[in-house]
Amino acid sequence: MRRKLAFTYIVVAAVLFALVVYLLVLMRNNGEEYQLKILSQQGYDSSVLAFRRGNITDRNGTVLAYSEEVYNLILDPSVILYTSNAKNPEPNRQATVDALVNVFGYDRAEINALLDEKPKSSYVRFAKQLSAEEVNRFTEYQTEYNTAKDEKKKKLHKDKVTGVWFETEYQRSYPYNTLACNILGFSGAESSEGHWGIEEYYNDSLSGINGRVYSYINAEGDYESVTEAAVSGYTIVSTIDYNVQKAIEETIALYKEEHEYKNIGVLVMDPTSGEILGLATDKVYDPNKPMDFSYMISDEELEAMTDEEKSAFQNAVWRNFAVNDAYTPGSVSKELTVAMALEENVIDTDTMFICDGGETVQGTTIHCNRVSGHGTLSLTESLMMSCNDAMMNIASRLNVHTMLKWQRQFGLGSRTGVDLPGEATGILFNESNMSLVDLATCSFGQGYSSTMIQMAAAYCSILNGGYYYTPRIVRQVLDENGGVVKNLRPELVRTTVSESTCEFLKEAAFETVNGGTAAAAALAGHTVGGKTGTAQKYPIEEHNYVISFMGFTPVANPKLLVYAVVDEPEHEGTNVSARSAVELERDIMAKIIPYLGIPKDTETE
Amino acid sequence: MKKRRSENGIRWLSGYDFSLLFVVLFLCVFGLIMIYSASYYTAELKLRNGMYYFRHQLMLYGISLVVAIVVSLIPHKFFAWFVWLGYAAAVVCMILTNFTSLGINTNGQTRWMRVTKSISFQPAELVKIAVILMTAYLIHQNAKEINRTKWLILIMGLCAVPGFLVLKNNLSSGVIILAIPVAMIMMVSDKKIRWIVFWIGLGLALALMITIKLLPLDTLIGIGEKIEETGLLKAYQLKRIYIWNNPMYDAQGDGYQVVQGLYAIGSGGVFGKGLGASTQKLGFVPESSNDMIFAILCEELGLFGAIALIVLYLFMLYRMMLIAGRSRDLFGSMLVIGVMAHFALQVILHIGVVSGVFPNTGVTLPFVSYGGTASLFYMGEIGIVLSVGRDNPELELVEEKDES
Repeated sequence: MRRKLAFTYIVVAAVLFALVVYLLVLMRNNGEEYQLKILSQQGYDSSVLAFRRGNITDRNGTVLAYSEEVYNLILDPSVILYTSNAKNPEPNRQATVDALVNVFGYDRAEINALLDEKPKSSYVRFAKQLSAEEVNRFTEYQTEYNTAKDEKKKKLHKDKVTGVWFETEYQRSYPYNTLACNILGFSGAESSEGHWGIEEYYNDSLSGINGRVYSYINAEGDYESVTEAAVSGYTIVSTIDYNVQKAIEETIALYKEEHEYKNIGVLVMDPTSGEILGLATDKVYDPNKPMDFSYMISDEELEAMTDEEKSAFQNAVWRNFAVNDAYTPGSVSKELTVAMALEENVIDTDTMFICDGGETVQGTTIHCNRVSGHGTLSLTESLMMSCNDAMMNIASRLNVHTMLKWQRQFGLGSRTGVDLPGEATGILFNESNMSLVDLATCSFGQGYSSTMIQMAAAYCSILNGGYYYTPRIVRQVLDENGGVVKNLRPELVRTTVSESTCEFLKEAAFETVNGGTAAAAALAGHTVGGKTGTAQKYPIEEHNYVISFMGFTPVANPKLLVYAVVDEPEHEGTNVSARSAVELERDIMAKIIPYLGIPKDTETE
Repeated sequence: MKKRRSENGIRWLSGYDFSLLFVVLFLCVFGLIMIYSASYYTAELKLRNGMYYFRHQLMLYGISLVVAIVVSLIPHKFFAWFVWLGYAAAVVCMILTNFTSLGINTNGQTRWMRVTKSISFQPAELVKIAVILMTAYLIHQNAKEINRTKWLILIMGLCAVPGFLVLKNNLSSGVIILAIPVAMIMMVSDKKIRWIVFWIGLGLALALMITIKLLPLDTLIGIGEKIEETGLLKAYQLKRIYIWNNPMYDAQGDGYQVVQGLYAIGSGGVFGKGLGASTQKLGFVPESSNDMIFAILCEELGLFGAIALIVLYLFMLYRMMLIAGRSRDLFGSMLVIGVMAHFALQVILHIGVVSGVFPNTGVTLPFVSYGGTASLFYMGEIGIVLSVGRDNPELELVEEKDES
């Protein structure tokens, strides 16, 4: 027996030795990999506290965009299905499922199926975006149930409602839905994302800083948790006025019903500061659900698109025509041509022009808008009648260099610096490629392109006595408690033209409305000035036009500028009238004036 | 006369195997340090008292040591009186645990029996010691006829009753309970056929194990699917085999414990990260202070620590082997052989499970793992071995020489 015993002992020792060898092999082959695995699964237990994205308000504090707390319902099946005693399996399941069904009206079968499917999980996001009120109802139910006593036994219920908790999240809401969508843009699923508009341009200010809860075991072995609170984003106070914006959008909506066009843009500014009071295009979407295009296009059509087509389609809806697109400005720019000529002293306010219906420059005949000719015109009359011939005459007294210099002076060809994303620059000639023909056409706004914001900003400088301000859509950045973080005051970039030139041009614009091409823009009781624009789009053969009207009031001391542009309006042959743009502008101005409290300044009808 | 009495005292003491006692005490202290290191984090987290498991175990070792010494002072022949009482108690406890509400269900398995509200114990440990006692007794009583198949069947049959009751809920303990009498019987068996069957059985088991462990997982799954079609094994049983082959098969689910244990072992390296420096004990390895304590030991003390521990066990088994060989009666020898078999199996299975050689099943590491019932019964067994050791024929030779 001793021999057997000794032999067994040797076998045991051999087995243990084999295990040691196995361990050695394990360490040598996998040691490093396992070390990395361990490091990768280390880490403090921490959870993110989402920050609240800042609000966007109009200039009077009307909230246009805000983030509200919503709750996600999280199920913890491992807790709900916990069994401590085989005799009474899953004691809390019935009560918990009952609670969910009673409070939220969820489908019992669905919950049970989910619990059976993932019994060991601790985190199943069952429902999203519950309101605080719904969460309260559940919590009350839960507390009541868990503390209620069994009527028969006079003891606490043995089963509990448990394993259900709520996770806070913020949801971006735009209470006025489509209102000011072109200005606001939208925020994505993540609070730190902003797309288009103020949401994109001021994303850094609107975004706060995520907080965090760290839990760890300290050196003494105590469980500690440190909360680093989330920092809310700043509130952005826009320069726009809710009522102005609403008036613009309503008027555009009416216009849309009666007219055909490709794009409409309306820009309302305060000429004294360059602040944008309202801005709208015809492209309307709901920033609450920016991906929902069902009001324009069926789901099948959207599905059928390639990714590129889809992206182009989406961008066409989301983009802001007034800032992101350049177009041929047309006759609106004639005021600028006159202004630069006056400043260069090549003409004076008494200079007379003779219009014979066109002019031939270097062998190219360029017609006036009235091919029969306007006859003899004063400088004011040439603006009133929007005479191309007179403008070409003025241009011939200037040269390529001065023209380009003054275009730059008026902010054309470069970004205005407006605080909206994706601003286009428009395209100007340069001295090397600008012919005299180009010089002639530039005088009446053909041959180059500009954006609405550029043209409006240039006009503002004429209306306010020659001060070019950077156009602005945001006036203030506030912290969570309403304290001012930053005031964005009007930013004077340069002076453009002299005050006397400004006075002359305002008067001429007033006469244009009073007795010229823009008579339709007149408003009873208010002095209105303005300039129409009708531009031919390139290529000329396609006979597409851009009509526009730049209007302002009161003439003596303009407080309000309204610029309406209709891209590719319906027209018959070459007979295009800016009239519908003028009427659009007039209707808008008529609605806005009362809100801005601009007093009547004339008795005329 | 005075001189003679003092000499008797020395003789009485010199029969005592202090080497065994000390190696066991050393293992206990080593175990306490490991329990302290491995359990502090989870104890602090769950009970807000990092010392809880350490204190509890320290207290139990105190009691166990007293039990071991008291048992060791009882002449081992006296244990024969308790054979049937112990066996009956073991069977009754197993029945109560399995079929009445006294059984405590944790993780779907009923392994614990409630004695009072706060005291509960694992009857499987009682079964082990009862089986050792009974087998030793029956072999001793029927030593001359032990090669007859009748006795083999009788002993194994008697052991199988509580053995299968344990097997229901605790695979590893069940296997140990059935393997102990086999080892004991084989020690006194001279019949060739018995040995042939024994070796073939062992060889087949080993071959099956190696096949499952070494086959590529994909091949194994292929075979498994065919077996599933025949209905021989169910999907969950096959899944266990896949995890045994490669715990990464379900690293986040059923293979989690083994995988985390392997990470611990693998990252420890030859010299380990240092005592107390395990990161896997910080909530990653479940059961880090009992079923998986060897993994934490490897992570902190490395292969070096593992070998040191194994050498301690080998020394302990060596001392037991000497005692078994020297015992004057078969009952004593068989008792010690039973205890040896028990500890050897316990150590091999624990290390094998933790390192993934055997399928995952909870086995504690004697004297190192946390566990009240187990340490009490382990120490009781050590007491039995010490008691057998005191009955030393060489001592009597000395006495006889003195008298002559």
